[in-house]
Amino acid sequence: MNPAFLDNSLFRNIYCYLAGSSDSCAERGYDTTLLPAGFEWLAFAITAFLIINIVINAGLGAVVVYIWGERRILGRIQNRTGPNRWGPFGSLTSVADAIKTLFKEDIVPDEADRWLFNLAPILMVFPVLSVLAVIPFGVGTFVVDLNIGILFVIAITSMSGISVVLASWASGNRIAIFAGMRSVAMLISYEIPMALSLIGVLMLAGSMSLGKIVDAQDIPFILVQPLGLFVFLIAAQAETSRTPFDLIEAESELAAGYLNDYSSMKFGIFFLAEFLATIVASMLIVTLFLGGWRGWDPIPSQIWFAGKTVLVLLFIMWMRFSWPRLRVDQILSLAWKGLFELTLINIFVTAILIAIWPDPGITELLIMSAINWVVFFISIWLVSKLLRPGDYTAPAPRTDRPTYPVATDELPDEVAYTGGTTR
Amino acid sequence: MSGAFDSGPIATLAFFVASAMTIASAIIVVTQRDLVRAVVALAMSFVGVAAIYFILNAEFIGVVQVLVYVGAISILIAFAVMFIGDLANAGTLSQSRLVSAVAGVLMLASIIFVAYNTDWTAIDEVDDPDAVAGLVGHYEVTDGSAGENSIAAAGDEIEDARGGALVDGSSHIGPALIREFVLPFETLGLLLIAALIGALVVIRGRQEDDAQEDDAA
Amino acid sequence: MTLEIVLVVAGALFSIGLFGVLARRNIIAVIMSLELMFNGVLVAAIGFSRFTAPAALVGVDGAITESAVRSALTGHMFAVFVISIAAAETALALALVFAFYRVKQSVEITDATDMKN
Repeated sequence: MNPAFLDNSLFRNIYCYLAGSSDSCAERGYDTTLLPAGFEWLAFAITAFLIINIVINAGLGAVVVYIWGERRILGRIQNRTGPNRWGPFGSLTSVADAIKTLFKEDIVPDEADRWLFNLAPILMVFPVLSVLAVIPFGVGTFVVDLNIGILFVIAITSMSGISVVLASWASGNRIAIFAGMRSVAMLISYEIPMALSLIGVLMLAGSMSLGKIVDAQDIPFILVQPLGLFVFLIAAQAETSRTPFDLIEAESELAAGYLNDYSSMKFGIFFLAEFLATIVASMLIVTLFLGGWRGWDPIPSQIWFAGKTVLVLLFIMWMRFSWPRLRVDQILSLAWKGLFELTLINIFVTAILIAIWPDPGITELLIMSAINWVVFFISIWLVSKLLRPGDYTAPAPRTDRPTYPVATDELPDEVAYTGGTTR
Repeated sequence: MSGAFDSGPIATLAFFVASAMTIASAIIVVTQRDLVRAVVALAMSFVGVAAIYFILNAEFIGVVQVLVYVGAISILIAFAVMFIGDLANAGTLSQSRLVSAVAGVLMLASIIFVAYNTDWTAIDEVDDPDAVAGLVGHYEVTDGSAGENSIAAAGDEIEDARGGALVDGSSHIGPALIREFVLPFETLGLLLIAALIGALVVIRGRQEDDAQEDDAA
Repeated sequence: MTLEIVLVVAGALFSIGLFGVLARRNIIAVIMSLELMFNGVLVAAIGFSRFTAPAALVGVDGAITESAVRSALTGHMFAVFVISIAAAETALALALVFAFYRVKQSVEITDATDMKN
């Protein structure tokens, strides 16, 4: 067993409680032993199982609370109450939702391939849960601190593409396949800006490990890498298919897109995967750009982390109901013509700044952040000129039909139904 | 790599589980008639191979495997299958199935024979013959106390000099690409551009001709 | 977990891919089996790099330099290059499959028997 595992405080506590007689535990002062001496592998297995269990259940519990919170807060943004029937302030709504979803009839269409149809939700949820393994939730609170943490996150989120292809194909109807292909085109287009926007963070922290990145944030990287945060925020929204990028679940358009034929708990699992992906994306933003679990002393680091995650989630919810949905060609041109160039500019400028100041202290970081913010505004202005919205001129008003005034009760004089075309 | 040879039973168990999953998925790929299931099994086998890379201390390669193979190549093949794959009969020919199975079994047998009958401890670059004596069974050394010229001691020296960097092989891949392997790296860039342009040319090559024929007919 | 077991697994992947290349009739299935063969080779390369490469570090006189460490990572570099090239090659192969389908309206390799004239 790699002795680096014992840096994880939760792991250390459980493992050394079970097998305190092993050498590395004895050095740190534990001496309770529940298992006989040759069974350290069993202690490792039990500890690993317990930690993974805790993390996954905490993640799923967070989704339940988040769904309620989102519906409530979106209701307030839209000047209405959210759900308020079940429990105080409607807090048990998600539980009621889950019970309803479980009891719905599970339909598998005839043309669908049963085996793949049942497999697709599992493949969708698996990458999202795996990302929870590398995020540091507090001081010494993580599942594993990989040396290649960022790359692991990007690789695992790129696995969601194949599950979308599978889900759309397994439904067996053309609408689902079209929607699935559009969704995959969007997903693979936004992997590149998401990966490249983190290179600036990687250069500043000097390591891909998420724990070391949090340690390197004496000032949070939102100040030093504004372009990186901007691009990562947009790309993460697109990867998790949130509005303004939700082609799939555009409720007013293609029914439910490629999720058309999924009912009951399979749809519930897709739904859960999408919301869990949003929570994981905001946890990543907190870790990489907002300083992770760093905060001031009397409040424990896990509470700081949770508080910052809630702030980022509020921001993402705010984005959801502020902007209209983008068309698929607008989404793709934003990725390839807009965000890609912003990431290249970010890498270039950050590399030059780090070449000038190889080991930045706090004052050098502040100078770098000032330069980066200026570059941020200039480059967004330039790229917005590149992504011109196109020449759209409103069509001239028709003169052969009466024009009805909007939002009044008056009707023009010549209103008459001529019996011609029904328009 | 003082800690690297300490495999332990959990790593061995994980290796066997990952290999079983990989080989089972590979068998599904080559025998499944329905190509979409074959693509899913292919993606599973890639994930199994990535797990094997993680167990063999090659984390960077494992992550690159997931990113490139599962995240891009599987989707590419799945798109191709969705467009044109299920037209023809995707099954195997009966005659060449037997011959191919014989060829595969022969290949596997020869690999196993070579693997078990070669002495893998022979190394050309060793200058100090006394060091070779410490290398017999070198991949079973479990602790760092085997003498001055053993691998464990070498690993300790590197770790002391670099602050533990050898444990993390991925930080050496970047400099390696720029220093020792710069020529293949730049050639790879050229090759990727050539592949990109070539694929576009092959796909778009005949579209103007087809359009003219449709207009004439 | 010895080197021989890793090589057996790599050989098994390679042989299964070989069977697939020889016995499948659909071009895309052949391409999939070819990817399996690539993976078999890479597992062997990484296995060698893990089990035998550190021994090369011992033979270096004096302090072990970073250059020696990077040379010991040759198996990893091999894997990086082969994965990238396999990606490009799969893209090109599938482009050729599309072009072939456009001409012949079929994706079986038994129909790829005519030269141009």
